[in-house]
Amino acid sequence: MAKDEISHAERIKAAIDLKEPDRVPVLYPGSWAINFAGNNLNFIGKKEKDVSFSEWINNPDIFVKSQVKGCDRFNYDFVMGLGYSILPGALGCAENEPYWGIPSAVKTPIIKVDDWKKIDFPDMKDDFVKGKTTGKIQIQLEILRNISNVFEKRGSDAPFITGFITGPLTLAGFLLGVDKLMLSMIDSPDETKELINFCTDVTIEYMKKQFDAGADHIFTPDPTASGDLISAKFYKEFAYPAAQKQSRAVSNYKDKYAHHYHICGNTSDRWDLLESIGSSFISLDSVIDLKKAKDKIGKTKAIAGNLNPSGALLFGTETEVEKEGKEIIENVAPNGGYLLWTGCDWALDYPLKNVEMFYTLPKKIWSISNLKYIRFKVHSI
Amino acid sequence: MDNEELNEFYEKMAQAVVDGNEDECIRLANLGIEEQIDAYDIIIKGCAHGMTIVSDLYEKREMFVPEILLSARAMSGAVDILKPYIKTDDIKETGCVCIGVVLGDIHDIGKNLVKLLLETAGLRVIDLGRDVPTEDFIETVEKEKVDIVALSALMTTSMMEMKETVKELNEKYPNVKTMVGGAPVSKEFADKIGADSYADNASEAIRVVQGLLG
Ligand code: B12
Ligand SMILES: [Zn+2]
Repeated sequence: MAKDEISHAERIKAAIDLKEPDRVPVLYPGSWAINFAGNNLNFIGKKEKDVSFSEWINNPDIFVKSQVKGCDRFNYDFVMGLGYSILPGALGCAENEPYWGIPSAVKTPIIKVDDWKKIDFPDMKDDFVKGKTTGKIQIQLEILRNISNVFEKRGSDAPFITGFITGPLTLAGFLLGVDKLMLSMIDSPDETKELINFCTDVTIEYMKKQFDAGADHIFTPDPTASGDLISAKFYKEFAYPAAQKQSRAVSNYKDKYAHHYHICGNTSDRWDLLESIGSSFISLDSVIDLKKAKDKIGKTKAIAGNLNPSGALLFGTETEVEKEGKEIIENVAPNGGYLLWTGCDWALDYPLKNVEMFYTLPKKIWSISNLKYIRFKVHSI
Repeated sequence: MDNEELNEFYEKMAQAVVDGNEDECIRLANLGIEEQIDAYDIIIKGCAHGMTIVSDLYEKREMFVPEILLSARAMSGAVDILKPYIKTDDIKETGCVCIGVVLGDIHDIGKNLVKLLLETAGLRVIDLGRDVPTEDFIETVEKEKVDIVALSALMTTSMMEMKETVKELNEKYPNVKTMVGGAPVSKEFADKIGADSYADNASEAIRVVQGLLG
């Protein structure tokens, strides 16, 4: 692969600083990266796999190799550490780890909203013993350490190593159950805020550990604060202060490039709030018009998005992926402050050809040589 | 009560449900019993109507999940009081729906809404919860007199499970109807996997079920 003119970090920072990099920075393929594990690429679309989901997320060696393989193949600008329900498990949620699917919490550790007081602050020791350690915190930290070692040893341009913490409302939902959390916002708002605050504090401590282990950047999705679940009013009252606290802690501990904030669903009634959380950039779901978001908040905030994770990528052809991506890039990339991604996490079963197309998009459509062309097009509309 | 008064009464109940006002729902339910209004009518024309409005307001983004759950709780307050007064021949016409979120998927908020509306519409609903393997649906159909199996999926991965479940149900129980839904599921997808029907939201689900039951 031809060497780029600027490093991954420079490219990302330029976008976050609302400038136009040499090309659009692009994020990792989310959960789809499991297809880089072992020999899984040869098993796409089949029922049996070489490496199962639970093998992938419980073995740092397999996980790290898969992530590095993905970077080598597609040269994306961010690489992902582990991102699956790490803190819910550490706080006592029982989990189910399917053969081929995202783990799910099956039992909530608390019954009443103020039961969080009975939960122990999780042990965040970062020791890892191969074949013995089962704690996801320890696995995750080992993964981050190993990924950063790989790139350090090579002395090559490293992508932004991305850690993960669950958003505060989502974590609270895992602990109490989402239905109960929703009602308790009405029934006992003060106690609910205390629970959310506890969750925020846990995430902040854990975030620090991840930076210490080698992360450059943290992804904090908060699906339970989604525009499909709570009103803008509730968002402002319950989710926003927690997100702000989280974001402030990230930039104080690391720097202003270190935080990717995400909520799902239709968020158009709360973009002004999202803009002022303090994150480096926000990624928005495919149900919203990214051009409108850019017009509204793009002058102060970098945004990422938003190919439909269950549209062309999953069911369509490469040509359809290209068309969808091209339209988004042409609409949103001019004048900078844009990163290419999907609207949410990736499904596990996209055909390889569609993923290949996704990763040629930034090079094909948005590069220095194409810049003039797009500018011309945009301005002449 | 004359007709106009009756309608006004149902309206009030519906409004109390929309407002999530449990005390008012309970008060009205007791008043209805006192006034000897048919309990089944109060549930259908008052409570269920209220929940349909709630579901429509959700689609319009005027109500959100916390408010919906509040309405549901208020409604349960009324339904608990009214249930013992329902005459048995009122319910014999309605059918039985077995509902669940398919394997690998724990998103159950939408499914719970659909269940709620189906129940308030007077149907018997067997809820298998979330992350439900095909075998469990099959087993329920075997044991109970199920007319419709309703499947929910919120993720693309679980849509594939949905396909499997529908396929197996169609093979083993061609007389039992299937209905599918959930945000990523579409009419086209439903047709493609051989499901009998699809509904986009909870109030539409009621209409679809009533259509299926003929
Ligand atoms: C809340 C939420 C969660 C909560 C779920 C809590 C719960 N108990 O349900 C939590 C935080 C736990 C969660 C977890 C995850 N989530 Co989530 N989540 C959401 C979110 C934001 C909202 C879903 C919701 O409840 N909507 C509100 C309800 C009322 O709407 P609804 O479910 O669509 O239901 C309506 C209709 O669809 C219909 N309907 C629903 N079911 C049925 C059934 C029938 C028969 C009929 C007729 C109609 C019908 O009626 C309902 C009322 O109108 C969506 C985003 C979105 N916009 O959908 C993501 C989303 C579903 N999640 C997603 C993901 C990826 C995940 C995780 C994998 C994240 C992760 N990486 O860990 C995990 C999954 C774990 C698992 N194995 O299931 C993705 C799925 C992507 C994909 N392409 O597959 C989504 C779509 C986000 C996105 N934009 O990509 N999530
Ligand atoms: Zn999302």
